[in-house]
Parts: sequence; C-alpha cells; structure tokens
Amino acid sequence: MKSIRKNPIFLLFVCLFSSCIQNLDFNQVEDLTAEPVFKSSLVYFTLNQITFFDRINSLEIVTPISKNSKFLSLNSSFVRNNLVKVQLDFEINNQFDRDFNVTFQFLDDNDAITHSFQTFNIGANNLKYLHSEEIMVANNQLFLSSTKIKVLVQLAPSTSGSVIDPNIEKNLVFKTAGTFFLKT
Amino acid sequence: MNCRTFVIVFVLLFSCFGYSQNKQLLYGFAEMPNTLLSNPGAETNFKFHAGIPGLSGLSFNIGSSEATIADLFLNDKIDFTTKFKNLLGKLTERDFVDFNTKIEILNGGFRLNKKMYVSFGLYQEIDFIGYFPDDIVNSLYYGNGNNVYKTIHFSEIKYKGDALGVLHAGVSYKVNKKLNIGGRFKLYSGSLHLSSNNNSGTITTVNGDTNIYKQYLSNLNLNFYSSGLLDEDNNVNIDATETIGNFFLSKNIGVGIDVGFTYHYTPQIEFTGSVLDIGFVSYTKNINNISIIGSHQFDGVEVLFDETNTDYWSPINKDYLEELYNEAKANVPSETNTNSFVSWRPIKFNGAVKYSYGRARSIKECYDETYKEYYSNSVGVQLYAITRPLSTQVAATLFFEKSISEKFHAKLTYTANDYSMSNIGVGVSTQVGIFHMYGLVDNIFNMTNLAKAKSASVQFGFNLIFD
Repeated sequence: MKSIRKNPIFLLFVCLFSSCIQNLDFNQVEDLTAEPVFKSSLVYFTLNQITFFDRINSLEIVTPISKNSKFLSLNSSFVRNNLVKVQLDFEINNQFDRDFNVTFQFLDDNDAITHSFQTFNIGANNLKYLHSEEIMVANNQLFLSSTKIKVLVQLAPSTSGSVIDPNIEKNLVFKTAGTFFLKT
Repeated sequence: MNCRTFVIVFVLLFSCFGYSQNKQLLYGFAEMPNTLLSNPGAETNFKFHAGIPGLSGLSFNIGSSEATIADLFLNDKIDFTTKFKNLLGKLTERDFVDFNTKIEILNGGFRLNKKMYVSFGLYQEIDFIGYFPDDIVNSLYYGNGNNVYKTIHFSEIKYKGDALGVLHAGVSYKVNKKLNIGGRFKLYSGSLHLSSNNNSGTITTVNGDTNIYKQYLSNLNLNFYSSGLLDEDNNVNIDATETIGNFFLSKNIGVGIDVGFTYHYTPQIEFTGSVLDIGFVSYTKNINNISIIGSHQFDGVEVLFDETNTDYWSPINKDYLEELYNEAKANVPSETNTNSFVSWRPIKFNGAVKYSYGRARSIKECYDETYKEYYSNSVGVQLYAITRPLSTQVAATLFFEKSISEKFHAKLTYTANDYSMSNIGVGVSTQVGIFHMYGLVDNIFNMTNLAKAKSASVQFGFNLIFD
C-alpha cells in the first residue's frame, strides 16, 4: 500500500488545515456608528373664526389661546439617548386679514416648560407662512423630558380696524413636521 | 486569538470541508459512487460500495454574491463605519447570502444485476438563502431624512431555510451500451423551516394636504412561515432533542425525486443530465406563521377643537396618540396562525457534454464480460441551475479531466457564477485497494485568504468500493 504520507489526498488535507484566514478583527463591529435622520409629520390643527370670538359678549378674544398636544416623539429611550438635533418645520395658512402671534412651548409631565421658541408673527392673509426652528440637544438637555407641545396663538390688534366676523368662515391652519437627527 | 475569533475561524475552516451546491467538481467525475447523488443516471463499474458513516460526504458552505468577510473585518485600520457604508452602497436587493450543509450519515449501494445498480442512504441537510432587503436596511440605517420621497418596498424581504433529513434510494439502469438512466426517490423529514417570500407593500411619502407630509403604507401583505423555531409567544425556542429527532422521523413529511441520464453519443462524446430534488415538504407540526396585512396612512396628529365646548381655554383631554396607534393596528393587523404549508425544495439542474481523447484503455466491466473504453483525457462543459426565491441561479463550468492511472484521476474546472468569474477548482480521486477517497477544492485562488472569498468549497469523502 502506498505510504499515506505521499498520498496527494492526505497532503491536500494537511494543506487545508493550515490557516487560510488572514488578519481579521471581528471586534471592529463595536465601532459601528450610525447617524440616521428621520422626517415625519407632527401635529396639525385648524382654528376658525369662532375660536377668536366670544359670542356671549360679542367680543374678539385677544388673549392667547392655547392648545396642548402630546409630544411622544421622545417616548422611545433609543431616541432620547441618541438624539442630537431636532428641526421643527411649521407651515401656517392664515386666511384672516389680521396678524397672529404664535408661540410654541414644550412641556414635561408636570406642565413645566422644557423649551420654547421665540414668538413669531404671521402676517395677515399669508397663506403659506414657513418657519423652522432647531433644537440642539446638547445645549438643551431639558428638552428630552418633553412630553407635550403647547401652542399659544394670539390675535394681534387690528391695524386696519377690521374685526373678526363670527359668521364669515376663516381658518388659521397649522401644519408641522419634525426632522430628528440621531447619532449612535 | 480570542474565543470568538477561534469559533469564527473554526467554522470557516470547517467550511473548507464542504462542497458548493453546484457540485461541478463532483459531477460526472471518475465514476465515483458519490456522483450518483448528483446524477442518478451516472454509470458505475463496481459491485457494491459503502460510505464511511459520517465521512463519505460532509459539507458546509457559505457563499455571498457580493460581500466578503474582508470587506468588513479586515484589520486594515480603515474606520469600520466607512467600510460598512461602502458595503451598503454596493449591495442591492438581488444580493444574497446562502449556506448549505450536508452530512451523509449512511451511504451504500450494490449491483442488483448487470444492468442495475441500487444505491441508498440517509443524509441531513441544512439549506438557507436570504436576500438583502435594500430599501429597509438603508431606511433604518440612514433614515428617510435625505430621501423622504423614496418608496420602501417590502417585497424585498425574501429568505428561505430548511433543516431536514433525507432518506433516499435510487437505481442506475443501463438501457444499452449507449444509454444509462437513473432515478432516485427521496423521503424528506422536515425539522426546521423559516421562509418569507412573495411579500408586497410599500411605504411612500408625498407632500400632504392636511399636514406637511403624508405617508402611505400601501397594500402591505407580509407572511412569515416557520416550523420548529418559535413558541406560541413568537419567541425563538428550539428544542435540540426534538430538532435532531425530526431529522429522522417527523410529521413534516415530503417526497421528491431525482432523475438523470448518461448518453454516449459516440465512445468519445458523452452527454449527461440530471434534475434533482423535484419535491416538497408539507409542514404540519410546530407551525407558527405570522401575517401582517393592510393599508394605512399617516399625516400626523390632528388636534381637534371641540366646538361644543364653550370653554375655549380648556385643552382637549384626549389621547390622540393612543387613538392613532389603535387605528394603525386595526388597519394593519398582525395575526399568527398554525396553518400547514408546503415548501418546495430548490430544484437543481445539471447538464454536461464531455469529449474524451488520448490513450484509450479497455477495462472489463465488473458485472459481465464486456469491456468499456476509457480515455486518458476529457474536456467538456457543464451547466448548472438552481431555483431560488428571487430567481434561478445559474453557473457554467469548463472542465478538463485526466486519468493518470486506472485508479487515479484529476479534474480541473473553471466556473462562472453569481459568486465569481474566476473560480478555478481542482479535484482528485484515488483508490487504494478497496479504500477510495477523493478531494475537491473549489475557488483555489482564494484558499489562501478565505476572508476575501465570496465562496469557499472543498469536499472530500471516503468510501469502500468493491469491484
């Protein structure tokens, strides 16, 4: 019988047992980072002329009207732990011939303000008012505990003498979207 | 070398002792008994054979259509995130990873008469293929911020895996001097299964009317089938004892057949062909299927102003988001069921034409007084195809065979397939007394560094052949 050591199959076998994997480091997977950016619509609502008119006293309501909505974009611990920046986009359709002043505030569960934007003015009959606000989380850690968003809308004093007519339908339409910048 | 690296290296080394499902080296090589599994109509010239239990055919193969281990894990000081992004940029929904293991537990055969050779055996096979869901992975990794209007397709979710035992018996029948045909009957015993295919549904984002964006989840129809993997809570729960037992006898039974032929057009020109695993497994036990069907649209949360409430200052106490969630769940319900289902085996097609030339040697057939001409050299071409969830994969092989002696044969192949256009393979078959062994190495140029290989395939086996 031929010596097995000289058998080509055996030599092949030995060759195959020698290392055929070169220089790999699987620990590198722990260095993987991601910077996803997610865009989504947020809240939207419409306020009509009746909102700004006290029909009992037949007077315009000039004090701020506030609306709260839950803001659960930060409900996920993954989002909270990895959020770098939030950009909020506002698109407002003002059908009134009056200006409005709008303020957005973020609140926590106790209704304490965690972050607020500067009040911005929406001109009369501006059918597509666009506005963006950015929140850098590193500079606004309190923002991460936000669970509600509060909108304060105030009818600005009339400069032309026009008054709200409760019988003529007019709307103030709010649309919002958020862009969430994350980094793992 | 730490423990995890050792395990990975061991698995990859172990994968050296395997053969690709495209057994281009083994197919039609040297009239070995093992060729009967790739062509039941292969000719044999021995009285009986017995495979060494567990060693006559042992394989583990991993292949990838695009990615290699080195693409990510080479210790080259390049930032891993950069390498990961580069790889994501290269992959498409047509790219896949697959692996196949086959352990021949029993393998034997005997000559019934001068026309018929019967072979039988039992092997265990694990086969898996998974395609890259390009839209979903990129959307999760990058988000939709830079491409908000891109459509995400759920049809890209495609994978299929089976672990089963196969009990088989076949006959190779010599019709006449020119033609040999064969068939093999297979009884499948399914142990584990997972699959998802023919899914549909998209997520699209458009400019909204009620809000800035409107997102549509349209016609979602996702179906995930499994057997032996999940418990009633949809958690992975594999009972090892039951799994192994089901390789041999389970209620997930199926049948299949292989057919093949060898035709000598002339003493020097030979045509062969086979179709393997025309069959299915009916999964009726340990089923846990999940279906998600429906459509939904999302354009944010509408805060409603209640006009019947004259106290305009009161915030509306309404959990809009819970309503939103419930609405989404109602529109796109997820259901589990235990309905039985049928899984078709991937069908393999082989075809080859071989031209033999050179020094002729007349060798007496072992079963009668006739002689067969064997030539020292052969060249030819082989074609291979396998049906897969996305499409049929094909490969073409050119080969050269050399009979160095009556008992020592070598084969050289060049194969073009989904993995590589530079796949060179080498095989040898030798017999010492009744002890036969063979070794087949595919993709030899990458054997010195498997990390850069898209596939690796080496096979060897030991049999006892009685002439």
